[in-house]
Amino acid sequence: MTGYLYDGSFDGFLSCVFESFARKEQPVLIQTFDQDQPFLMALTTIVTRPERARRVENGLKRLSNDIWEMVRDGFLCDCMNNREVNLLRLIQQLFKYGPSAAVNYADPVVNTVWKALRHMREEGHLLSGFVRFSEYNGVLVSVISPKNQVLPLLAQHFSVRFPGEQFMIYDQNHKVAFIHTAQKGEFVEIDTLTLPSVGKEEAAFRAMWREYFDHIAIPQRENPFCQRTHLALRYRPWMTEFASEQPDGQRLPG
Amino acid sequence: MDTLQKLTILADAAKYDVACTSSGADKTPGPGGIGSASAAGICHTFTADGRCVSLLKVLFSNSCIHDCKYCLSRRSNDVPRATFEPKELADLTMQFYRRNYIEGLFISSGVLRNPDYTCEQMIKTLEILRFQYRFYGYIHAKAIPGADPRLIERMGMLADRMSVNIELPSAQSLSLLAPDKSRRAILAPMRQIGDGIAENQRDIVRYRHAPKFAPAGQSTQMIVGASPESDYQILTLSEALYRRFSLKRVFFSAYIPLNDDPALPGKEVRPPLLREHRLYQADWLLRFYGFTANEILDEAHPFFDPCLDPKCNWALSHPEFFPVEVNAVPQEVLLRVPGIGVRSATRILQARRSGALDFAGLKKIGVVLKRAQYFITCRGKMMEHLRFSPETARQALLSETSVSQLPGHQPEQLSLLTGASWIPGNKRAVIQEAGL
Repeated sequence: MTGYLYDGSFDGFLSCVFESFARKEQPVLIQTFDQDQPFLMALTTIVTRPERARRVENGLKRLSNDIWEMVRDGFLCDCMNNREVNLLRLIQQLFKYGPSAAVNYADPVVNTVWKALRHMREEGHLLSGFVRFSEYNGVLVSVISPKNQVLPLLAQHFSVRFPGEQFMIYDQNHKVAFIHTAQKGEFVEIDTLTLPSVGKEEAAFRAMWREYFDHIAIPQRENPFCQRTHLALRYRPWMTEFASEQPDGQRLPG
Repeated sequence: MDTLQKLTILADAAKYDVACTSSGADKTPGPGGIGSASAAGICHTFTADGRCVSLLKVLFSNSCIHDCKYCLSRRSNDVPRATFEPKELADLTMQFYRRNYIEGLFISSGVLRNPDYTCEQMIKTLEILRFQYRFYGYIHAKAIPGADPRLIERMGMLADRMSVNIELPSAQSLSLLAPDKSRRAILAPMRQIGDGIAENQRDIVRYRHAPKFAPAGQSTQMIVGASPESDYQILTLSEALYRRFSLKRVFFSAYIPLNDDPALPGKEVRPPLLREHRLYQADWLLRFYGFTANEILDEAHPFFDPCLDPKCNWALSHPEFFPVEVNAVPQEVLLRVPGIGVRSATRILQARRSGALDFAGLKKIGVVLKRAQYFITCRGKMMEHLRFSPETARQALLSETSVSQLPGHQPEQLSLLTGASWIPGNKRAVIQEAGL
């Protein structure tokens, strides 16, 4: 039994993939340096080599662009158990059987990756609606706490939508922020974020949105179960219209 | 009156309009612009009634010259009235949009002074958004019946989606409940919009950058339960609307009593939510599953079975069609199987190329075996240990939630409902009275 240790980056993971092909090994475990190591198992440390990562990337892109995106986005799925090993198995199958292996949804490996991907993309899609910005001196700021690393998806969505705006989305769970200005967009690691209290104008728009939200519901059709199905409670602490319902008072930034 | 007060009044007046989708348009902002739209649409929040909020849905004004009996904003009602300024509404939309509260604007209006004036005010709002603020987000505009065709044309060039409410399922009910409106006045703009969309598709073939008329298509809505039409009538009407006016969507809105009027059902009536739900299920069968209205309901069975969804109902009454072999049949046959939807049918087609599927594989793919098991074979075999008769299959397929909502339901009464003629006539009357 072999296992790999790597630095947790995507290029690092692709280097592991390269290494497993080069050594003809079937690792049962791929984990990062900071995770607890298993007892009685020697792990090989894999050094991140970008040029090797590019070779794996090009190989996958040759199969098809969708397949490359499947692997790339699969790496963002924190919800997937044994993420690296499952993705490695998927890549092995893809190189062995060709691109059609990616749609063999009944296969256990493809199924695991595909379900995780669906979960991650769904979370990203929902958050593209549930993100709430607050304005601080012309800069729009928003905080989220997603299960998966959906920030790249959101960054893409909002960069297209608000090309001229300065905005920031902070992922509190992964301690990463995406900062966008009219010239460029970049990802920055931030440990804690403290925001000033909101201005008068911002407070007025929040109040208007809350009022609108309360008035647009039809009381005769009330159905909190249906509401919870579509909009899980875990999204609500960051949403303007639910702020007053939160037990610990207002958790909105500012 | 400040914007907050106006917003409260005009949101209250707009909420009975059900449509709030932002789908059908896929676009990115032009230079110096703001806003985009994705074909699937995005929901921004869900209200206490579980409905999606995608667009800022408000009336431009709730003053109205009409006196439609079912409407809260009718002339004879004593309710607070408000009207936005075009600039005020455009500003509000932009500020909400920047904060990602909404996907765009859904603008409708009561008839202020006359249809033309109302239309002009709405157009003014849209022009500020599109030209002054360079807003590329989603706009759904409601055409005002009776307005000049040139104004409708102008509005369609500014909006992504247009709609005209057909209001009630038949011309008789319309003249009874909305005496100031006529079927003809409603269908005229609907036809004009439909023609505009068709023409615009021909133009785009010629000029790629031709300005598009309502690129996200046209929709309509009707109230269900305020008038005596059967489900069969409603469904054939929607089918005709899809066919004749190439509508994108027909929305159904369960009647909610707001006014007292002898021509309307009493105020104690509960909104027929289950009926609305069944209509939407049938609507999906029409649009995505290749069914026709006559297959789902007919003269002899003009109402939906409240306890059984329309697709299960069809499958149970066509035993000669089943079972089908999942690994062999084409997509249109897969789509007829209860428990297999559009997505799982596509996945089955993809996955079976790599090898024959079994029941465990189907479950992984997302097929609802609880329903599908009675109608399919895998590699020539039915599910193991599955023994059933048409009767027991029907009983197993009954929707537990809808059965539990039937009046006088107690768990042990379930067996009473599974007879051959599943519900006697008098019980159906009870069900309708209870608004199910």
